[in-house]
Amino acid sequence: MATLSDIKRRIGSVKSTQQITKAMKMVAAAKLRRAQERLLNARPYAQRFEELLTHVTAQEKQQSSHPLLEVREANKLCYVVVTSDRGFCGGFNSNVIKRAKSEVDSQTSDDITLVAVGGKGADFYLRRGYQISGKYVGIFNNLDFHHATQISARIQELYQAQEVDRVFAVYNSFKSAGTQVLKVAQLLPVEPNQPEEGGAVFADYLYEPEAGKILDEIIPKNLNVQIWRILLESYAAEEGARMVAMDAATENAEEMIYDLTLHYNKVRQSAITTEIAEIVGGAEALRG
Amino acid sequence: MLPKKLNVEILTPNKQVYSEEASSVRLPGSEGYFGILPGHTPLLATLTIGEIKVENDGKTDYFAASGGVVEVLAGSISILVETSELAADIDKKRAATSKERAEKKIKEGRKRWDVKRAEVALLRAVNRMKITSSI
Repeated sequence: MATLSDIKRRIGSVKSTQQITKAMKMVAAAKLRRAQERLLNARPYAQRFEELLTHVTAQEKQQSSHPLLEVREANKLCYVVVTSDRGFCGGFNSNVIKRAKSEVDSQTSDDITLVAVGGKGADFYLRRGYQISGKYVGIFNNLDFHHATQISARIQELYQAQEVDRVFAVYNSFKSAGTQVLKVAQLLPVEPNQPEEGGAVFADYLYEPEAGKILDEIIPKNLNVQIWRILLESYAAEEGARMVAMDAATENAEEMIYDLTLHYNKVRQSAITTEIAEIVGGAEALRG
Repeated sequence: MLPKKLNVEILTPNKQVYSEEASSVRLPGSEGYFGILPGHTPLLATLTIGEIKVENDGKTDYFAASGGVVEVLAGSISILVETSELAADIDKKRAATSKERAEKKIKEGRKRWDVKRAEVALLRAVNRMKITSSI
């Protein structure tokens, strides 16, 4: 049976763990706020850019031939899996990795390569010997637009070299601090949205320079922007998941401390009772 | 009747830099500067590194901008650029140091640095410095 001092030590250890999880929760909350703000700031840009592409491709149907719009038979696939660099965020990473795995398994083609964004995913896939054509680790600590540009450049290179025929992204999107929604989105070839039926009819644009050159410019840029949005979504979702996980850990520690304290008091009580019984017994014996 | 004002928004991946009415805008198109007045026909143009000038009732704002695109629709104009800042917000020291850094990289040459990138960085830095000195 555990002695009093053992239980006391255990309570102390749970308490200090609780302090750590509490601090981590606080840090995650602060980071979440910042990440959320960045995401909200980036969304209008990403949205406008998509609209722009929709307008142009709708109007220039005949002329929209760009290597990144070209649809090939889907033989070789590429998945960009966005995980986090750090752990302690509940099911955040395992969910996205599981989802990516089920996506990969559901494909008939087995010529599949991965681009791992975030250390957790990279570790996982490297350990299991997956084919990896890109690895971006340690970017979330200091997330910047040029990271998105790098990833985008890499997948464009793979696509144009015909090493892959489809590129998908698997990531957690941020819905609220407590909820992440897993998403799978096709990045390449670019599939422009159809303009809404009955929506505003877009007047004929003047182009400067000509339409083809503008497409050359905005299609890769749109990809950069969409990847940037995905990175920000994932980062905000990560901090949200971490905050929730650490909150739960803090609560569990609280519960444990309660149970241990109860146990401690019971053990103490029974020790006192035994002691009294011994004294009484001793006194009886002396009197006798 | 033609509209008298344009709704101008300047967006970057990091934030919405500007969103206000204006009576005229001048932009650094990739084939030269051009101006937009209210009632302009729809236009789509690519932008290069340069200066955006927004005029409204005698008040003029200058922005430094690096490449992007602009979409002009009836009465509104959306400027989507990679970076943009109000002339008064430009950090002169930072621009000067990045100019020096870029120059150094170009001088040291192809072996160690990506010269193309350094040249673009140099253009951006020079552009920022020019805009701060013009106000």
